[in-house]
Amino acid sequence: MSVENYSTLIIGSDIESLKAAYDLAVIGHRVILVEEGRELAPSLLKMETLPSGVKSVHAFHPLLMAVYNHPNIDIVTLSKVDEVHHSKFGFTAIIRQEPSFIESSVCCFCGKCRDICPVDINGGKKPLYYLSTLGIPRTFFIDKREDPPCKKACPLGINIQGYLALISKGKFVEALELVRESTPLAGVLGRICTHPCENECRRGEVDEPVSICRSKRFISDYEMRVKKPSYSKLKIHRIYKEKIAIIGSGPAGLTAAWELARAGYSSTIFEAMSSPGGMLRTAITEFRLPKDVLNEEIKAITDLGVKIVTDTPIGKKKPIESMFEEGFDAVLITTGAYLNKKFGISGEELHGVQSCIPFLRKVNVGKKPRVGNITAVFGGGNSAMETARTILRLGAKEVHVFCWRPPEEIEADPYEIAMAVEEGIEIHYLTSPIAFMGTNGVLKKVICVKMRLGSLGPDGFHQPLPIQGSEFEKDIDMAVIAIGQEPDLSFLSKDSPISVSKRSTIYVNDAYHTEQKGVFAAGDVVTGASTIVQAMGAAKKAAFSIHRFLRGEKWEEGMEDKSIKEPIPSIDPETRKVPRNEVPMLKTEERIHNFNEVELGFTKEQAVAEANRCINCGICSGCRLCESACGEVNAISHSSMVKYMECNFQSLISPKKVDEKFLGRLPPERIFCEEELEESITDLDDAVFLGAGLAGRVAAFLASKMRVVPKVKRKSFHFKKGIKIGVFLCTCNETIGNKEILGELLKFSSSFDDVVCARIVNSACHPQGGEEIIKIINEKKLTRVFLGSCVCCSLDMICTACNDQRLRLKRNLFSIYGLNPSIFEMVNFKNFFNTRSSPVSSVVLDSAKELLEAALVRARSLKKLPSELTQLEKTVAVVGADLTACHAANELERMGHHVFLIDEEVKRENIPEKTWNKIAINKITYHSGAEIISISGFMGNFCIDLKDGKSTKIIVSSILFSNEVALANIPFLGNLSKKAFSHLPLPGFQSFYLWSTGIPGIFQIVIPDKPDFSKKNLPGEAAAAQVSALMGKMKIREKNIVAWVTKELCRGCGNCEEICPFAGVEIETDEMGRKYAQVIPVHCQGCGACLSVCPTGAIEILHKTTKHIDDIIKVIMK
Amino acid sequence: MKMDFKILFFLCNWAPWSCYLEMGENKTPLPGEVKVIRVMCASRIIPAHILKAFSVGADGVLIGSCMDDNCQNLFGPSVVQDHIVNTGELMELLGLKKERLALKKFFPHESEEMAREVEEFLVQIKKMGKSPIAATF
Repeated sequence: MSVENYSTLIIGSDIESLKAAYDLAVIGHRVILVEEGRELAPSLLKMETLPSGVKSVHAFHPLLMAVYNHPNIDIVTLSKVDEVHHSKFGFTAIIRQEPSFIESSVCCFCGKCRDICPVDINGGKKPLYYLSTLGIPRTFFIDKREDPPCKKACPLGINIQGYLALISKGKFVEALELVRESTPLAGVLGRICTHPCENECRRGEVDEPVSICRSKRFISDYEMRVKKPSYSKLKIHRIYKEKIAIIGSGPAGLTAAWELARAGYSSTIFEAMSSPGGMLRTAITEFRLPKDVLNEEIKAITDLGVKIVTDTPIGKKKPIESMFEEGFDAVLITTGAYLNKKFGISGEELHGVQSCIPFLRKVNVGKKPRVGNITAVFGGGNSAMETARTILRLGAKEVHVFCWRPPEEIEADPYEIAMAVEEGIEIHYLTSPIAFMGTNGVLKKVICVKMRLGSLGPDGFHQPLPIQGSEFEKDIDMAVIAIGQEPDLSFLSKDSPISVSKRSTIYVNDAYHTEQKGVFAAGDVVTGASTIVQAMGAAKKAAFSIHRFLRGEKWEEGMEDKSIKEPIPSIDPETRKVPRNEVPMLKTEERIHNFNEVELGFTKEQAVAEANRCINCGICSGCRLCESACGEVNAISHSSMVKYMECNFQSLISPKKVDEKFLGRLPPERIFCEEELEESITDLDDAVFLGAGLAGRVAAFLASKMRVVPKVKRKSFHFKKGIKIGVFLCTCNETIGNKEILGELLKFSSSFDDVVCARIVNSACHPQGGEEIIKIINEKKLTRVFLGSCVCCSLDMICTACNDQRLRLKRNLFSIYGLNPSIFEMVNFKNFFNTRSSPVSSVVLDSAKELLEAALVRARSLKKLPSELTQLEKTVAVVGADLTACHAANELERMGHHVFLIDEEVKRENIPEKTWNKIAINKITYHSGAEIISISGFMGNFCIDLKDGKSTKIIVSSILFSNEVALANIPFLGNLSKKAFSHLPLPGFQSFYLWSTGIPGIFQIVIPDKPDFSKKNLPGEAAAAQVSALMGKMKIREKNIVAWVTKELCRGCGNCEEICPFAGVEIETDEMGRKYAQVIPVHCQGCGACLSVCPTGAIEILHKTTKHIDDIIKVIMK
Repeated sequence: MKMDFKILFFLCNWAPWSCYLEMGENKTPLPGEVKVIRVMCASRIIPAHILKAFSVGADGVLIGSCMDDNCQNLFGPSVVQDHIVNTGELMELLGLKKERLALKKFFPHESEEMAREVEEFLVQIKKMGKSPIAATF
């Protein structure tokens, strides 16, 4: 992790923080801004209206964009400072950043993610949203919450809401793919899972839970029926050489093998029986789980490279220890629980009394064992029900189930019980056998006893107790005991280090590691008999643990997602009730005599309707459809996690309140805060003032400290002659126009002789798109480039509606790759298409062609834009020596400026001795009692004529007037004397700039009327920051929008000087005595008002000359 | 298919351009008759541009500027206002009605107003009929 060095760490991104950051950055300090929220300046988004009538968000937008894009400012959103400590550099902060899931630095805001999102919350709201199109960063946000209860309840962590959302939009294949990220056995689980998810489903709070399990079955069926299985789509990213042996091919073994295969390991499953599947094959009967579904899903696992070796029991002949000798690096035991429990009552050995697992196995390998006429099954679990229903299908006349628990505490799924009862099976609750009786070793009857409920046991169930004297007899000729199983651990050797519990389960730690190194165990062999999905969930984790073990990593590290997520919202009380869809099934008489699958599965319409019942209580479902929709831009990642970064800093600005964690850790002089002003800050102007003041204070403080060298990346530009045009059309990730129109436009542009190449770019603001453009420019040696995207111009300016994407594109092309902006003609094609009622029509195509043609006309006549680099001297005159001005002078001096303090009369009495002494100590040139004769010149070169005894001429870069000076009385000369001072402060838009006048480089302090603000020198510091920031700015700012005078055409009428609001034009006289206009580039703002009053066309703005505009009018009005 | 009427819409780069882009974000359609051209400031539009537009077949010219108090360049709206008065007089002399030229001022958030103003201007021009110059083409 590289640690960046910053001068200042700023907390928060409200206006005061942003203002401070901006001023410090332009002065030349590197700044890092830590914002807790998702966007900058969250308070601005309230769309407050300023007195000027402009919404604050618009007024500040260009300035916020400037902050966001300043090379000296790094901004981290969704972040908090976790810890601060002293370090070699000064101080080090550890910043914790919550995941944003969408990488704003590459997002092109095309909106495809939102369009494809299948989740509709409360009738149409999407979990993908943006707060404002003017937001910074301008990107979508994903409302990701805590996992919904269904997902939490699933031991496999299947993304249930996700696949339901996909089903609801008919995306069945994608839904199955999503399920397969968690389990290979979708078809199996969709039939026989005990679905703990449905118990937790929040739809249940409204009416009934969503039929989650059978929805999964539908997508699995859909794939088998409609299209070829898509398992091949799963990618294995890397291959490891280690091999793993898995003992037992039941649901746990299969799951582990699949997970390991996907992680890149080859594994071999050893199965004692002749075909794989374990309990899935032997204990689940065809009428619930057809064998071809199981076979298909096992095949998918073996297709991934998993080897299954059948008829190979592990035990004496082939002990676990031999696995390592055979070259396996780890062993996973998933042998399940096969040993049947017994009642331990008399008669259990009689012929006719059986255990359920061997009985079911016989049936499931295709045999048809003989059954009795009146049969009884003992037990209350799902396997008891399964056994009873199997016996019925084999021809028994009567099937009774005896269960010692009451109906409400029975273990079997209510659904399974209902199915059994429907088929005619009689269930006797609270009944337990006490003896089997028989003659000649053959079962004849059973003696049972009725039970009553005792006290609540430790397992949460009532302990059934026999009722004395309630014994009764029942004639039966077959009994199957299905009261549970326990693991058969006979395969472990006697001296095995693996320890075993009393319940004959294997002991493992949290990482599923047994006490023998490299041997893991999971599933029923660890927990005792449980459910299939639980065993699979454990196996999945065990597989991951094996991966960590083999890679030498610890199990605990980085496992859980530490990000702070909002809890899921409560359910809308308006939610309409919709009954649960029931799965169609065979009629009772059609099913009880055969082994055909009873459930037929949802129809397509049912599946969609059922999925639509999901209320999407988890907001974002994490289905990842948006990830794939994002495509080449690749901005979305649902698996983002919390990030930590370290940065060094020298000072801390926390404008309104300091977090306690800083207080003890940083010396107080390095913390800059105005806590007592918090209540006085009532509007945006106050906030700007506070920010400026803090910036000035920090800049003065830092001036004496080590300075952090800012990063400025600039490469030289080339402007070549000769016309070779390249046309690039950005599709904004395939959302602008359509293929047809873009194809036509490319064809049209190629029809011009000087167009060398015409290309489509997927996303020009993406670094990849930028690289593509550069590559082609270099390859084809292009000298002019037309780019149709969302970018309006190639200039280095930021307007009210400029945004992240546009600035990013310009930054990539011009600052990072070093292209010359002069060779570019850019047209906002995206907006053109967005403002057409239909994107495909001949009218639209014609207009687009006109736009393109006009752009090409202009591209041919592009001129090299001026890009002057003006370096200003650090000299400043402070006029009027009142208290604030004296403070400002002192601070400016500390920041390294040469300061002239000018005062008409000496007014020492208002100024404390301390301040005055500083002025004397500092190298401030003090002109007391001096009269200003005239001020002329321009920013960077103001000339002040003084009379203080003798006449003195001072040349300064900028002038700061104190509050007391009446600017109207100042004898300005030449163009400076014009309208410039009628506007102070500048209107609406520029409220980020404090105290500037109409003339760049001249400031006047306006002391706020809140007395609090004048405490602690804040106004003086703010003024110093403004002046200093301007100086810093002129060092890096290159202007390419300034006006330009052709001297030969100018007749010196002075209209331009008259109209220029910024004193940007001066009338000069040459040696011949001829008058001509001259533009002062540092003043010119590029508005072009002078052009409109020039009678000869001598003055021009090069990036869009009068001829350019005329040409464009000619083409588009054709 | 060619449009019967043609209107040139000059947009200042600041508030009006912001409205136009917002129209795009909201997918508000702009009538096909209206062709847009962006300038740095409304004050940059010289009378010659306006007359040029009519000479090549425009039936109307609409200029979008910022509000008087919100000009980035301080006096843009008043400068263009003067031009419009002068040019309007010229247009009357030329036999074009001065109503074919209009100035509308916008705040940056007024995309809906802009859509409405454009629509109204288009209706007005259609009522006035083809420009006498364009009719000769």
